[in-house]
Amino acid sequence: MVAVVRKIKGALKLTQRRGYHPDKGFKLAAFIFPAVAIVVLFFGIPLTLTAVMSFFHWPLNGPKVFIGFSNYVRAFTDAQFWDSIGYTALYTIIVTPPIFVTAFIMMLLTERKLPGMAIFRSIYFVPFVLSMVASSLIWLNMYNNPFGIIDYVLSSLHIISHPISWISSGWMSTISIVIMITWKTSGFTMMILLAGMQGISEEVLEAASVDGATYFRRLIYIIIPLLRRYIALSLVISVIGSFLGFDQFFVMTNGGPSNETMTIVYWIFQNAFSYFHTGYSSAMSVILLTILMGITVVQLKFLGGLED
Amino acid sequence: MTGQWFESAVETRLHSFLLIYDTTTKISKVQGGSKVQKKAQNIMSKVGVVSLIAVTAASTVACGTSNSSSSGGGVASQTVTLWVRTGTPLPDVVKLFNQKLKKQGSKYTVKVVELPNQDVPTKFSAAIAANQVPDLISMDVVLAPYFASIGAFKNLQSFYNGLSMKDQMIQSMVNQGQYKGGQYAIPEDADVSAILYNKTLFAQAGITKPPSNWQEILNDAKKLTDPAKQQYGYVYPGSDGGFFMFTFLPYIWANGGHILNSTGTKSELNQSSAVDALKFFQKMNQEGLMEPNASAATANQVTSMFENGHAGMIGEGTFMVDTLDTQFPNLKYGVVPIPNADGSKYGSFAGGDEIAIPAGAKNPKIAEEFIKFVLSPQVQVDLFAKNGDLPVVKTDFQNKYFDQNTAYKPFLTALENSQVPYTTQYNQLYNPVTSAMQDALQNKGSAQSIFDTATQNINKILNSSH
Repeated sequence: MVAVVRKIKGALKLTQRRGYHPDKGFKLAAFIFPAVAIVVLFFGIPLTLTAVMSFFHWPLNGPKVFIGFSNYVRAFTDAQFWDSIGYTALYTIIVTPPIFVTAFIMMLLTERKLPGMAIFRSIYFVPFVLSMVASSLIWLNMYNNPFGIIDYVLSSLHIISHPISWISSGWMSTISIVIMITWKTSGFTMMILLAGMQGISEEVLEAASVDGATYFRRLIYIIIPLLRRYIALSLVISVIGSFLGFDQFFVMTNGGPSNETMTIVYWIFQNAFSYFHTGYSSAMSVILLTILMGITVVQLKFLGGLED
Repeated sequence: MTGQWFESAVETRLHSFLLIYDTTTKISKVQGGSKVQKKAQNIMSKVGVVSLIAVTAASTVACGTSNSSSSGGGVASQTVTLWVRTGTPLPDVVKLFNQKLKKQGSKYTVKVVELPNQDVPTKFSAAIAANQVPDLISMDVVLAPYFASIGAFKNLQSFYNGLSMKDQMIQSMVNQGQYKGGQYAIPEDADVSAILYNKTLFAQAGITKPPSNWQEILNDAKKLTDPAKQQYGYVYPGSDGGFFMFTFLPYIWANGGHILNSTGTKSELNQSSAVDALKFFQKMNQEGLMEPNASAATANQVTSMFENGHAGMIGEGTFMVDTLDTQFPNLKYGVVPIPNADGSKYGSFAGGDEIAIPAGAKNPKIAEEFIKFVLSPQVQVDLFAKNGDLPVVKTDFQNKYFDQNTAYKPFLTALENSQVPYTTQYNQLYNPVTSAMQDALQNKGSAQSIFDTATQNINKILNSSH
């Protein structure tokens, strides 16, 4: 306790040394207030309410009954909940590398200051601007067997002799979605990496070249280490985004076949909005929150360890 | 709607990530400083990480809590609000009703709010929670038992008893509006299922009459299937639970089986009459008479195949008559009721809409007047039948509009043989039945074992209390 007080006093002294005055605090608070109010209103309150609801049998109409941890017990004994968690984790593991690798290659191709390069950057970024639902529908039609354009092109080029059932088994559906998501989101990751690339001094790279470093060596020993903050950011976003995957599964597979592509958010959605199991879906949301917190902390800890 | 909302939440979250992460990393990048300063930076960094996670989770879990309705709730005293799903004929009814009210010098005006089908229960749930219900609500007939069971509807028993046409209404739809002896919702318009067949493809294949039993469907499908032309005998969307209910259950019903027992407390899918129907579909698929990858096909895909002449037969609803006549005038099609194995009986799903007055609605009297108007021949015949919607009053089945179009006659036969499963947990049945059909179409087991599993899963749902 004493140590904490000392730390606070130390921090206060620090701020005073930097020219802090009490009346400045009000101005600062006024600037911060709108953001804090929005976060509290749209995130803090729903989050708290969700946590509260998770301890209740919460019908749409009628009395709400406190049932303690029953919703949590139900989640832990619900085979579909665990299947969904498992599938979502698997999907995240599968989809993250292709997104990152594609984005990294696109970044290396477009970071050169050549005429017209901005056009390529825009082209690579455009899929990210499309809505996920629209993208999913476009790809669903492209994957269509036997009328989809992908099968048509592959057949025309004599690469395949029979149409491929892209959205069919759990594995094929997952691969199809991974391809679509890589196309859709790599541009965004590329932009993050490009932003990082802009911050790398050309002198450093030139000095390495003068010293005889090949492009590959410059990439491994200079570019990647200097990009690690941006790599960390892009991976955190990608992992969390994949763990919260919903739209693409909702549109392209409906969680099928036979629930094989049922992600955890889709299962929560089903329980909340189709089955009206509000308390139960709230409990699953809280569990998902805990899992995501754990993953993100571990991820940032690991990636943060690479920093100076 | 849901997709757009969700996407905007995701985008907001991404922007929040960037902002928070950037702030935390900038703080952690400050070089030098005292130990206290570094600790402060560390704390700030951790706060940033926790905020980041909280923002993520909050925007995710918000989907379980916040989906408020901004339209229609809390009506003004002279405006009567009606919520409907898109695609129902009620907006036209409202126009006529408002004209009638104007002539009478009434102070009321009905305002219609159209919602996408999948949003109706969600928005209505939010309205109930916020105590801002509309004056009237029209919804898919299968949802009525659930909302009646949670007390979301006003009991209309005495109003129903006073209706002159009550004994002429489609009984299965009337039953859907009942709960524990009370009448909470009233049938509004009907939509039943039957088999649509492509007359041109039938003629090209040398088939002279439409199928009347399962063997004929199978034989015709064989003659109609030509993969080289991307043409298939019978198309079915395995990924669509709604299609299972609407177009496959009738095969089971026609064959004497049921998905649920009469009290809706137990599944009967594992009975032989239901299993035989699944075997029949499995056989058609195994013999390549269905489109490739039928287990994952969507409703839009197979409907589009039929509309564009790539399918010989498809199970569809009454609403398709108007769609095909207006948008695909060159398609020559016929309609037959869904038969049982030997063609001696028919089955059909009694779909459509029910109309109800939410509990706590502020203008029940004018709402009841509106329902009476919906059930009048002026609406049931001159509006619904004229536009290709089935009336719910049997005396209105015979009308000049249906007499002019032979496609409606088989639907009327289907209507007489129609059923709809009564359960307050209808939405939850989609998952096990879709999985069962997908397993069957992917040959993951025998029809018996697949329906045994589906029966267990459905019973588990029916026995759950949450």
